[in-house]
Amino acid sequence: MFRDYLDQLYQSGNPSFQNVQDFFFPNPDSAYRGAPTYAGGTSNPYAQINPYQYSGMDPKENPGDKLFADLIRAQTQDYMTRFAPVENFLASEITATGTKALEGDLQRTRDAVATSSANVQGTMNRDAARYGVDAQQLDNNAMTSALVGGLNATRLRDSDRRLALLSGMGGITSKAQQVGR
Amino acid sequence: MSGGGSGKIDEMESKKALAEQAAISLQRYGEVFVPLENSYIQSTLNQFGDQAYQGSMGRAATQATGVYEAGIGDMQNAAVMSRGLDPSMGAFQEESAALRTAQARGVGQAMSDAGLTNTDQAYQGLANIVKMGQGLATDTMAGQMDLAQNQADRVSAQAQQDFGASSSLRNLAGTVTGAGAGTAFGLRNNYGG
Repeated sequence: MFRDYLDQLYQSGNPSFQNVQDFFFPNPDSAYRGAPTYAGGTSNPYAQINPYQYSGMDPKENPGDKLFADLIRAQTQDYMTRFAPVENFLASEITATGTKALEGDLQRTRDAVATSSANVQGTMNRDAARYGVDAQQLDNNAMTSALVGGLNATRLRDSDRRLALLSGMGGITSKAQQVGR
Repeated sequence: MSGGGSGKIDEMESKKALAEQAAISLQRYGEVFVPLENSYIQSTLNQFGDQAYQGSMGRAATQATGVYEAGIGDMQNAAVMSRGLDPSMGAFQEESAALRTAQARGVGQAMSDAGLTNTDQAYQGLANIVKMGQGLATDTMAGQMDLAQNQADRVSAQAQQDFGASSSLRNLAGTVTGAGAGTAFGLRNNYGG
């Protein structure tokens, strides 16, 4: 398939071989990042609050106000512990052209086209053996076109994803600004 | 109001009661909903993991393969029964190879699309978590279900279009699925299909 073209390029000594090779078949190890670990904690972040901590306090000392202040501090701490790391992660995923998932998505697209080609070719070979005829080959041009088109579509999806995240987070940041005022 | 020489004003009793009520509500939120939220956050992050991708792409491959295998079986039967072709004839083999190529491309597209959709869902989940953190309403489940249905619709539409080109199946009604027109597969042009 497309490997044949790369082999020809390599054998011809074409200097652009390495660029083409890196674009279509980079090192797959760097593409699979795995799931991030969430360190938000499992305990009840509000368990330490005692609703009646200030119940015996002199009304002149504003016990209700103090309790409200405790609640606001606990909510802020909860937000900083559980949600701020996720916000930081999401913001760090956005790149100049898309997201950091692009490399993995490109690799998965390559794998998908290669896997489906190999599987279907295997089916064709078994069919041919069953009928006692020579096996037909998949259309290399069509499969190369599918691979290139798939990679282009993957890049477009990633670019769209970036815009969606930026616009979504724009709404969120304006909300946060209002809260901060 | 009581005054005296201190100059301080007594806080209203209702304000303390409201604060106590808010504290109790937050404690219940911490007991009941925080574990659920944490579970959702962890599930969303897990969606970036290899297992999530393998699951969704594997399901897409199975679904798309089933659609194409049924159609190719119909084509081969129609070629033998209606057109009098046999498997050793060039016309039969060319049509089979063309549909198998369409199958390889269609299954590859479906798998790739499932992987991309999984990434979309993971980021959408993160965006929902951010909204949760900001106290905004979420539409978590509705969004995920919509994405899954879109994927199934695209596979069906692509397969229907591929089989529409088969000579043996051209007049065979209701071959593949009941989905809409072939143009529904928005990625088709990008895939060079």
